[in-house]
Amino acid sequence: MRAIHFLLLSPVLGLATIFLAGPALYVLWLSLTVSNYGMNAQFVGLQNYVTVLQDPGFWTAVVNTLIIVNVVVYVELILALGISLVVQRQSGLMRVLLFSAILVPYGISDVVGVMAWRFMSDPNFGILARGLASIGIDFNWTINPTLALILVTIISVWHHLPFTFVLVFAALVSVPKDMVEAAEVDGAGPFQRFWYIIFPFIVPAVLLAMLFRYVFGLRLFTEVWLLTNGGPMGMTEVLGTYLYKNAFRFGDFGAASATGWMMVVITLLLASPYLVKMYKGTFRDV
Amino acid sequence: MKRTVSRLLLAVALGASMLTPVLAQQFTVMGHRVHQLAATGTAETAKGGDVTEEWRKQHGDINWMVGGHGEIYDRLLREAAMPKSAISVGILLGRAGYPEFFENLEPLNDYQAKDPITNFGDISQGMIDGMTYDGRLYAIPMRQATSSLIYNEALLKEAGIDAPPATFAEMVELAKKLSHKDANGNDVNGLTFMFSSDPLHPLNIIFGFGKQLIESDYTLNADTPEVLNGLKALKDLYDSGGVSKNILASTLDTMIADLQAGRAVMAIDVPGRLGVLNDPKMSAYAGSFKSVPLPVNPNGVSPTQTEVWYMVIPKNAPDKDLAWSLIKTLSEPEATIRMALNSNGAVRVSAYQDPRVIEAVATAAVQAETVPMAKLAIPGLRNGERVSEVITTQIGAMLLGKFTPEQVVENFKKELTPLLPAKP
Amino acid sequence: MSKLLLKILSFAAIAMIFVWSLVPVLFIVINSFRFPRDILIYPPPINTNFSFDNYFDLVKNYPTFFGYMGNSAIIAISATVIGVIVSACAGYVYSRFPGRFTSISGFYLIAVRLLPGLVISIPLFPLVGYLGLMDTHAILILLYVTFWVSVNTFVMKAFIDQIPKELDEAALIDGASSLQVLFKIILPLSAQGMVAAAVFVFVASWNDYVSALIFTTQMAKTTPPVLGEIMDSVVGTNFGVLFAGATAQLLPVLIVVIVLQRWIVAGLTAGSVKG
Repeated sequence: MRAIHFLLLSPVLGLATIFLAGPALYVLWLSLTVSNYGMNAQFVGLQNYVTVLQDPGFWTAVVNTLIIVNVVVYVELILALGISLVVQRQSGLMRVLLFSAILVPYGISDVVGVMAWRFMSDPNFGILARGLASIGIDFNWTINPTLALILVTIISVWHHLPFTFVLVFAALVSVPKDMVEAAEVDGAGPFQRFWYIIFPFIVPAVLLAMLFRYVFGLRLFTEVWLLTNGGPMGMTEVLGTYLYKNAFRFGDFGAASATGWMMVVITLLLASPYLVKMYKGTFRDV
Repeated sequence: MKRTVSRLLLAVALGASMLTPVLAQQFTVMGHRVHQLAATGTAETAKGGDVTEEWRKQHGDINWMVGGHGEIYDRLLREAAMPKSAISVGILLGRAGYPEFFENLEPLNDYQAKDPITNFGDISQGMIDGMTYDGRLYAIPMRQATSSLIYNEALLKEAGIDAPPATFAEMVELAKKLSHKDANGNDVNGLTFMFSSDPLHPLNIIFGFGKQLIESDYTLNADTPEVLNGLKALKDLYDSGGVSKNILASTLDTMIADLQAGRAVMAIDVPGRLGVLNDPKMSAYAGSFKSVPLPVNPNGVSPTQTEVWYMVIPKNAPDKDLAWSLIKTLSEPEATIRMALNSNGAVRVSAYQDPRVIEAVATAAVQAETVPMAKLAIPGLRNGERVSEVITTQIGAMLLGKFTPEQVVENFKKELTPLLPAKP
Repeated sequence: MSKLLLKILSFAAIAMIFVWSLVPVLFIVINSFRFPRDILIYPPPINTNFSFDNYFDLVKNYPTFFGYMGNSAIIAISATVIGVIVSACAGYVYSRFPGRFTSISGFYLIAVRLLPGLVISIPLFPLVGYLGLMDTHAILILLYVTFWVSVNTFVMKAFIDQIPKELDEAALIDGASSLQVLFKIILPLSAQGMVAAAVFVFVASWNDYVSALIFTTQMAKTTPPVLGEIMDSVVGTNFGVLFAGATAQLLPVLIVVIVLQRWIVAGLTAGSVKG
C-alpha cells in the first residue's frame, strides 16, 4: 500500500465515516436513551431493547420480513439469471428495447409504482383482481394478510429486479467469448457451458447482488406502507414499517434506534454466509 | 495526471455546491398545500384573491413549504433541535396539541395582547381551548374540516329515496338497503369512509350512537352502552355489505374514487369534498353530490367531528414578530371570509353568514350549523398516534370476526386507559 | 425442430419479460392521458377521450415541478459522475492491492450500510445544519454518493477483478503510474461495472423522496417532493396529474438507460481483449 492508494480510498471511506458511521454511532447512543428527535435524551440502558424484544408486534415484523426478504432475494436472482441469458442472445434494437423495458420499473418513483400495483390489484376496481375473480380466484388482500404479503413480495420483486439484473447481466456480458467458444469446441453442451464456464465467472457479481439485496430488502417499507399500513391487526407489519411507526408516528426515537440496531444484527446474521464467501473470494490473497 | 484528476474532482464538487446561491434567509411558512391555496387564492375556483398580498408588499415574499401533517410535524421537531429554525410559521393539525410539543412553540398571549387579532372572541372557543395549556395559548386556528353526510342524489333517487336519512340509525339501515351489484358487476355499497390510516370515521360512527369514545376531557367511554351500540352497528354494516368488504384498506383516495364512480352512495366526509366529487373531469356523477349535517344520534344531536389546522411559531423561529404579523393578517375577520371564498373551512362561524360566502360556498348553511357544535375525534395527546393505532387495530379485528364488540370494549379499556392522561 | 422450439420459447420469454416489466408502467402512462374519472374504475373504459389535460394541469397547478427538474438533473448527474469516479478509484485499490487495511476497511464499508437510512436521518439533520449545507445541491449530491459508495465500490471491484492482472502489471513495469493504469487500462475495461454503478446512483438520486424532503426547503428542491405534494392527504390525489408527473419523471431515466446500455455493448467488445 502506497500513499496514492490511501488517497484513492479516502473519498469513499471519508464519506462513509462522516455521513454513515458517525450518525450510526449517535443512533447507537440514542437506542440507550428515551428521547424525541434526539432532544432531552435520558439514559435508560438497554430498556429500549427489552421493550422492543418483548413486543409481539416486533416479532410479527421479524417473521414477515425474514420470509419476504428470502423469497425476494432468491426469486430475483433466478429471474435475473434467466432474463439475462435471454437478453444476451438478442442483438440490436431488440436488445436495447429489452434492456430498457427491464429497467423501467426501477425508473418509476417507488411510491407511484406501488400505487399502480395497488390500484391494479384493488378488489373493487383493479384489472388484476377483477381478472382473477372472473376465473374464480378470490384475491382479496385487504382482508387476508397472507395474500397481502404475497402482493408485497410480488411488487418488491418487480421493483428491485433491475438491481440484480443489471449486476448479473453486466457480469454475463463480460464473460470472455473465447472461453465459451473454446468450451463449445471441446463439446460442452449449453448446460455444461453455463455451469462450468459462465457461472463461476459471474459468481462475484451474484454474491454482491444477493448481499446488498439482503441489506436493502430488510428495509422493505413503501410496499407495505401504501398497501396495508401494517394491518389488518398488525399482521402484515414488517421491520421497516415497525421502525417508521416508532420513530415518526409515535415519536419514540429510543425504540426506533434500538429496532434499527437490531436490524443491523439480523442483516449481519442473514448475510453472513454471503459476506464470508465474498470476503474469502475477495481477500483470499491476504 | 494525478493533479488533473484531483483538480477535476475538486472542480465538480465545488461547482456543484456553488450552484446553490447563498440567499438571505427567506420567510418560510410550512403547511399543507390547501393552506397555501387558501391564503394566496391561486386555485382556479378561488374567489377570495390573494390574502397575503398587502403583507408581501410590506415584508417581502413568502416561501411556502408544503407537505402533509406528518411531514410538517416531523420537520418542525427536527428544526426544533437546531439553534435556529428555518421555519417561521408552521401550520399543523390539532392532534399535535399536547404539553411536550408545546415546549417547542412560542406562547402567543403576549403577541395577542400587544398587537391583537380583531374580534378574537368570534373564533370558536373550543378550537382555542384545544391549544391552550397552563393558561398559555400556543396556536391560532386557521382551517377546520368538519364531518357531514355526503350523498349521491342520483343514486338515492334510483333506489326510490327522496331525502337523506333523518337519524343515524336510519342512515345505517339505509346503507344496508342501498348495497347491490351494478350492471358492470361492481359492488355498490350504501356507505363508505376512510379506515386504513386513521380511525376518524369509525369513531364518528360510534359517536353517532350517542357518545364519543374519547371525550375532549379524556374521559374514556368504552364501557358505555352507546359505544357498544356503535361498535355493533359497525360490525352489522360490514357483515351486511352496507360498507365494502375492503373497507379496512380504504384510504381517502379510494373513498373518493368509490364515490366518484358510483360504487358508494353515501359517505361521512367534509363538505369541502363536494368540489372534487362534482367535478365533471373527475366524477361520473358530477353535480349529483350533496352535503347535509350528519343525521342526529339518539340524543337528538348531530354527531359532528372536526379536525382543526393551527398556525404556530416555533420557539427558535428566526423572526417571530414578522411571523405574528402574518398570522394576524390571516386571522382577521375579512381574511377569514376571503379564505373561505378560496375554499377554506372558516374558523369564524360569522364567515358563513357573510353574503359573499353564502353565494359562493354551496355548503355555507351546513357549515354554519355544524362548525359550532363539532367535537375533536381525539383530543390532542402525547400518545395520540398510539391511541389511533389501538382503535384501528381493534375495530379491524372486530370486522374480521376475531373479536366480538364486547371483547373490543374490554380491549379498549385495557389498552387505551394507560395511554390517556390521568384525570385530575 | 429443437431450433424452432427454442425460437418459440425465447419468443415467449421475451413477451413475458415485456408484460411483467411494462404492464404496471403502462397503467401509469396510459392513465396519464385519461380524465381522472376514467382511471379508478372497472371495466377500464375502451373509448375514452385521450388528452394532454393532465399534463396541462400539472404545469398549471404545480409550476414548480418542471422548475425543480433542473435541480434534479444537476444533482443526479453530479452524484452519478462523482459516485462512479470515487467508487472506481476505491474498487481498483480493493482489487489490486489486498492487505490488512483494505480487508478491514472493506468490511467497514459494508457494515456502515447496514443501519436503515430512516434512523440515520435523525442525527444527520443537525449534522447537515452544523456543516451549513442545509438546502444546498452539495448536500444531496454528497448523500446520494455516500448511500451508494458501498455497493458501487464492490461492484467496481468485482468487475476490475475480471481484468487479467498481467495487463496492468505490465504497464506498471513499463513505468506507468497507478493513476495512469487506472484511467487508461482499468476503467475502459470495466465499463460494464461503471454502467451498473452509474445506473444505481442516477436512478436513486433522481427518484429519492426522503432526503430531498428532509434536507431542502427551496433552493435545492427536486421533483419527488412535488410528486409527494400531488399525493394529497387533505383534498385527495388527482391521479391523472400524478401519473402525468410520474411519466414525465420516467422519461429522463429512460434516456439515460438507453445511452448507458450502449456502453455495456462497448464494454463487451473491450471485454474480448481480456483473457
